[in-house]
Amino acid sequence: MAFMMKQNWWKALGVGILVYVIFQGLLGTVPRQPILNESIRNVYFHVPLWFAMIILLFTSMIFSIKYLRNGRPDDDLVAVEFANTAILFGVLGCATGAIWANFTWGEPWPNDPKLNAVAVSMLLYFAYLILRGSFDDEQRRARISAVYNIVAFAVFIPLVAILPRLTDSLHPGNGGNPAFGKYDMNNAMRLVLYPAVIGLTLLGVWVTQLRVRLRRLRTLLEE
Amino acid sequence: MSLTALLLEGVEMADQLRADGKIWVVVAVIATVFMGIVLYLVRLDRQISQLEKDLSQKKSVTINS
Repeated sequence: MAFMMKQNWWKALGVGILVYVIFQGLLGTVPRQPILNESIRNVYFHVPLWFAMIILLFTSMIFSIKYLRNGRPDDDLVAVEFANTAILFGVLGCATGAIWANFTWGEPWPNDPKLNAVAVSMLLYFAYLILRGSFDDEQRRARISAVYNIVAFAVFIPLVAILPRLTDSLHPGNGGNPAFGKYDMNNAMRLVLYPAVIGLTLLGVWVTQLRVRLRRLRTLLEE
Repeated sequence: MSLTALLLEGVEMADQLRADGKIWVVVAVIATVFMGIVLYLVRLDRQISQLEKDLSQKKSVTINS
């Protein structure tokens, strides 16, 4: 994994996949659904933001665990930057979701279990960044925010992935149904959505890597 | 034709936009924006790589001297 980060092919792969997603996402055929109409194509651009966010937050948590195990400041640094990129994706996910909801559900932020859960989760992670800013002692900051990051992820997953499924939600796949049932999506759409998740995740890792390297340079200069 | 299929035929999609080929205008614009952002990231990546090289050289010089 570490040696792969030094190479560049995965960045090109991510970009290539996303170019494919743009072309196939706009040109490919989609199911004809009332209310949704052509806006069903937002599935290719809005949904992957959340999937990529979850993958990035999971990675962030892994690095927080690594930090708590060995106390290397570099692991804490990587954890923050993965969280930063994930939060950016989350903000974009909220914004794109609000635009889409305005047209299909009639208002940008309806009172929906999934949306409430997402609002709480976003606050949870904003609090993580604020928490980090409130320490002067670097070791204390790293240790306490690593613990917080692990707890935040452990709360985040049930909040967005499990609880909305126990009730009714405007989002498809909630209220007891597995996500992406046969009425929501066909195989042609899956051939764009899943690559989009991979491509966007790779792009997120790239941005994260740039920020991590910049931070490492800064700490190197401070030494 | 079943009733649901008949109903779905009536769902309004951007068929005319596609028939005219104007959808390509949208595809081209979005692809250009995306490639512009990617080029920006590539340049940023190169600049950071250069900085890493410069700094590691400087470090080794100070250690050796």
